[in-house]
Amino acid sequence: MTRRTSWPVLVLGHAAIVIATAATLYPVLWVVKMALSPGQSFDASPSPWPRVVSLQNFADLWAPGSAMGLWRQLGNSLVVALATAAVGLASSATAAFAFSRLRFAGRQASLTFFLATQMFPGTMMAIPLYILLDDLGLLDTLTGLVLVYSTTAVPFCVFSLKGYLDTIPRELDEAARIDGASSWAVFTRVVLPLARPALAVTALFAFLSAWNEYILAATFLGDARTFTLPVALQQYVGEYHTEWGHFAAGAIVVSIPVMLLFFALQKQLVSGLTAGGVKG
Amino acid sequence: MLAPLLAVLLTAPRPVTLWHSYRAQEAEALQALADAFNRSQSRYALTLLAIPYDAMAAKVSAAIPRGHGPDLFIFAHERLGGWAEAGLLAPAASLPDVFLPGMAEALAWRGRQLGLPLAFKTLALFYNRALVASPPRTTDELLALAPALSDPAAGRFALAYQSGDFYYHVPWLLGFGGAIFDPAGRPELDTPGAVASLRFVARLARRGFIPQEASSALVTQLFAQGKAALAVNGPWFVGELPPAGLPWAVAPLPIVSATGQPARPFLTVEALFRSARAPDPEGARAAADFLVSDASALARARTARQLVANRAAYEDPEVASDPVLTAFRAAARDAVPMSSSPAMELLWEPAQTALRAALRGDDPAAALAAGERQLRALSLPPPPKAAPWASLAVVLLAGVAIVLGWHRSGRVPERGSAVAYAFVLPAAVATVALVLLPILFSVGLSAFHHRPDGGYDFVGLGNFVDILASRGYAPAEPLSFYFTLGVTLLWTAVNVALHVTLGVALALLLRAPWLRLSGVFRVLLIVPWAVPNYITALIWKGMFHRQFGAVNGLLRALGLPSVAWFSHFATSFAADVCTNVWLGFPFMMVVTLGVLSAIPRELYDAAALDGASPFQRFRHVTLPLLRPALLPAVVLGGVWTFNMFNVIWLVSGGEPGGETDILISQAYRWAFARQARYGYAAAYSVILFLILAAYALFAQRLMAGREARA
Amino acid sequence: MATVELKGLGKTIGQTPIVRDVDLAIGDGEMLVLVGPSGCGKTTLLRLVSGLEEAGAGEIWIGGRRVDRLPPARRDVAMVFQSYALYPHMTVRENLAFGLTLRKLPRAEIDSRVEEAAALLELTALLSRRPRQLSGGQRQRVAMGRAIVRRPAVFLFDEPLSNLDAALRAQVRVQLQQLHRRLGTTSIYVTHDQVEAMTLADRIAVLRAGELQQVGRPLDLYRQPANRFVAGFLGSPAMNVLPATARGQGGELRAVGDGFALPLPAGAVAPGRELLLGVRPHDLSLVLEGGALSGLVEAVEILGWEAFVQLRVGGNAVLVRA
Repeated sequence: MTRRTSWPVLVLGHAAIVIATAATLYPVLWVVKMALSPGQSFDASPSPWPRVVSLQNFADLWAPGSAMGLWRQLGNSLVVALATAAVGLASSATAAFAFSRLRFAGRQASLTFFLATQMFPGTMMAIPLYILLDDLGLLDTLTGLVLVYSTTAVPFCVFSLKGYLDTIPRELDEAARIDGASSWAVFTRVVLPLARPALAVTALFAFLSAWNEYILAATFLGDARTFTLPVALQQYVGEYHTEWGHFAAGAIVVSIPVMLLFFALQKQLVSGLTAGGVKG
Repeated sequence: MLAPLLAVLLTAPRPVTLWHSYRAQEAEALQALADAFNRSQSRYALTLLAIPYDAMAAKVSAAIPRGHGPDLFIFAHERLGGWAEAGLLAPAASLPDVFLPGMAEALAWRGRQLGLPLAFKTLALFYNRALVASPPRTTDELLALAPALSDPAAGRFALAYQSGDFYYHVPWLLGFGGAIFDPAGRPELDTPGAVASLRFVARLARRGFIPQEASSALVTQLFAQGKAALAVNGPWFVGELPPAGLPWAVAPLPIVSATGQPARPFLTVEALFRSARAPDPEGARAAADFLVSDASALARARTARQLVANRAAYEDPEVASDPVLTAFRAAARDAVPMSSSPAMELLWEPAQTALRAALRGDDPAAALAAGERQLRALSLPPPPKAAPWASLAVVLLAGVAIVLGWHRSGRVPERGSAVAYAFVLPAAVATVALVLLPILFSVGLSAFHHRPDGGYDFVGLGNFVDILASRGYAPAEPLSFYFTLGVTLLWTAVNVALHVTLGVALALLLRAPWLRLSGVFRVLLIVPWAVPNYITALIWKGMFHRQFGAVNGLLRALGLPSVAWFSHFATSFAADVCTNVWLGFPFMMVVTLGVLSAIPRELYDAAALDGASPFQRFRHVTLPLLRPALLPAVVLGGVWTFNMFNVIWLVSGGEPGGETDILISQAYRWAFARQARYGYAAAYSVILFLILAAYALFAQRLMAGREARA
Repeated sequence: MATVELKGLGKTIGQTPIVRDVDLAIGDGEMLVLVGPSGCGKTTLLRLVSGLEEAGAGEIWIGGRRVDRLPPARRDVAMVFQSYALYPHMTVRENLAFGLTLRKLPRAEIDSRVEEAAALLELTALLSRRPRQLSGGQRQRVAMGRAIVRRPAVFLFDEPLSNLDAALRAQVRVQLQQLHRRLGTTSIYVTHDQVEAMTLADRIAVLRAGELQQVGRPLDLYRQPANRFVAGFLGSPAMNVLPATARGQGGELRAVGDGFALPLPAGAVAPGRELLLGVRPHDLSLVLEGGALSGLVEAVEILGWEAFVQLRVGGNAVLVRA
């Protein structure tokens, strides 16, 4: 199969991808432009390039007395997001394994239940969750936040992982069982190592959901020392007036770790997200 | 040995916490005062906590009743009524007579003083002295000045203000003799004065004297660049203007020539509230008294240029010589304190709908009549209280049905079930505790009516009946439940279809052997995923701006007429879809890439040898393999889109007139923007949940079918 | 070493019986080959023995121990899968050692067993590779090695050669035979390939639609098939089957069919009975005149080392080795 592609296809194909990429990046460039332009206004001109480039907005983020004490909040966000990824992954991996590999009464019903919990509007859950965390004595703590984030991430993680596990040939577990493996050994020694790409992607999702969330964080945290990055960032949005420059600069600071993660996990992202895979 | 320790403990200052949303100079001034308070005495230590403005009201409502609230907090007085009815606020003791007229009165509720005035906000007229020598004193003068100052094609306007925001319209409404409450104290919209005021602003818009769809950012930009001669804005505007080079000044709003009345803006009082649950009322009171004292007010006025509520501050020579402070102080004389009644909340949405309709060119009278109808629909009385027995029976029956269903589905217990349960347990326990319980809480809530005073009445299925019977609107009308449901379904279907099409198309392109730099394109194309969507959604809203947005700029460059995106259902919907597609296609693209990379090369070779064209290869090889693999992603994508609150809320905001609202944004409005009808909102959520659950069950069948075949 | 006994074994999925009432005893060190067309339940039967599936009825005994309620790990069996099922994330060495490490054998013991098996299967040079770096034949050998190192009571083979090409298959078949002779482990071998069945088996069990048709030594089955199915299934090309009726003609018993009348041993069947006459092509030869059957030549297949001629005898086609 080394047929040569005709040049109109080449040209059109490249044109299509370039246009799509440009359209994709345009709004992002705007964020960059607002962050790099001095001042706090929302420049509505169509050009995505800043007229004057200044790093003042970024410097302000670290300034003493700034809403973002930044390093501390960066640290909080990292701790929360990493812990969410770890806890979410650990509990959903075992569940995904059971759903994919074991047969048990109520399997289908619990699967539906996990999917169903994704459907209740999250915006309506802040107040009940507040009461719950309070009763558990976890209000104002990063632990409480991690608990909430990781459980809300669990259903998605279970689904995404189950989809991938379904693509791992069953003969491998069977071989392991005959080799003398318990369910736990099949899970830890055979299935988990093979699911590494999906684990990476699922962890990334859990990480992202915690990294970007702010409504619940702002509601549950009552101590500036525990604030996460988005909570601090949101302080630039006031009742009458938004500090767009700071907001955009903060947004970029928030996004950079995510971009790096995406970049690092590119391969896994592609192979781990098959969510079902060809072999079904 | 214990004695010194005890002494330390006894003398350690007791903490007093204060929540605020101040920023920049105001925050610094407040901090300086807190430090001064802590130095001035040793019994209490005042600490400040900055909370994002968006989260403050909900946080206060949640925290104080549970005993986690602050001792003191600062917020605009408009929520006073609700909080007072819910019993969150402690009454102030005697109030010294040091405040400007109207300030303390705005903080009284049912005869009790429930807050101390710190500062106020209101609107005044900013003018560019290079463009207008003296500001117009009347609306007639304004209209006379305007033609020479306006050239919409060149982006120049006589007056810039957020014309579509009801807060900014209130000065005209009241100036033209309109009212917000009828004599009986019920909110009302459709008054002759209101019609006249809408005619007036519609004329300003039609003649191109004011920019369309003016956001606060646009107003700032136009005025700062000298493209708007006048601006109606508040004291916060000062901080947004360039520090030098713009010759601006502030004046009171003009007098409405038709009535001879001044345009009367709302007065918002920033108040210091004391929590009814503060553990140490004495400390909180001491700190509050300190912060609202004349001395503190003067400090705030001097260092933060705050419009403080104390009379004495304005007699200080430094403050008196500040033209902005004195101008706003003058403007405050004509201002009307915004009502702090919870009923006020109901007014915003219909008022805004009518206002924007009029600005788009609809007949003002008709727009107001429609707004009035919306107001009536929103203030519809709660469902009648119900006897719990009937509902209890329904719940019991449903429970029995669920148990039976579960029992039937799980008839085949197999060996090894115990192990399986152990594997599922951690996830199940966590999900039940932190997801299911809150859901059940909401389900329970849906059987109650949340009274404005914070109490709950049991109404059984009344909320559901109201929603499903579409009380207030005919089923086919916008804003009815069924219309919203239709929009939601359309929204979900269109988005998912586009996500999949675009995702698959780009994935195929990226996999094409002839594509150069495919690695680079792949990275760039997933960028939308990485930036938080509450930021990019705002950017997209800006891009769809009628006069200054990039999308219309592009259309004009192509010689096409620009589109008023948020004026019509179809275009407004399209703008929402566009944003959401942008946000969502990378996910589908990456999923597709994964599937494509798993399709064995030989299949294509075989198809090529069979003489299949590239399209046929796609149709007969790629597609059949892609379809089952994409199914779970499509199902989840559908659920996410169905509940995609951020895009709708931040991009179209339901414009025009709530037509592009989806179920989740409607539910949100009922809970947080319409008199806190939590029960009604919970019922909305439950219905929404049931719809999705049915969908999930269906999808589950599809996926299970696939599993069985495999 | 061990015997295997299946007593009244049955398995039903939904309403469909997959394995029906199978009674089978396999002697110590015996190689039993299960054959049958695809879908006949032979793989299921093997999986029932392995414990990967649970029997609906009956008992399984291995080495005098009832195992049908035990998990696979405790049945002391090893299995070679059709797809080999090698662990992709482990090297060949780790693949071989996996079952032993799970059983917590001492390190030295594991190493020596792995080395031994690797030497036996000529895998020594490949020990540090991963499965995807191996050829089909090599993978197959690793799969066998994984079973061997365990030294189980019973080997279970699930069509282990079906993914190899013809030449390799013949070669591995011989190796398997030698291996079995050397190790002498009781084995159950599932295949649909009759050549494998004939060459490898001590005894063959033919399965059809979940039911055992016949069990016996290969040549016994070849020579004395119990029914038409077994007769047709073993032997290539397939046996000629001619419908006929037993008739007494002049004191001689004959099988009379469409266009032929062949003598039968006296008293073999009662006259008047309907018969099916099975004759293997290899047992017939062509003569120009005076043969027991006569017919027209319809087709000729020449393979080089032998040739077959298809004759039309009345309404039947009869294949003859020429």
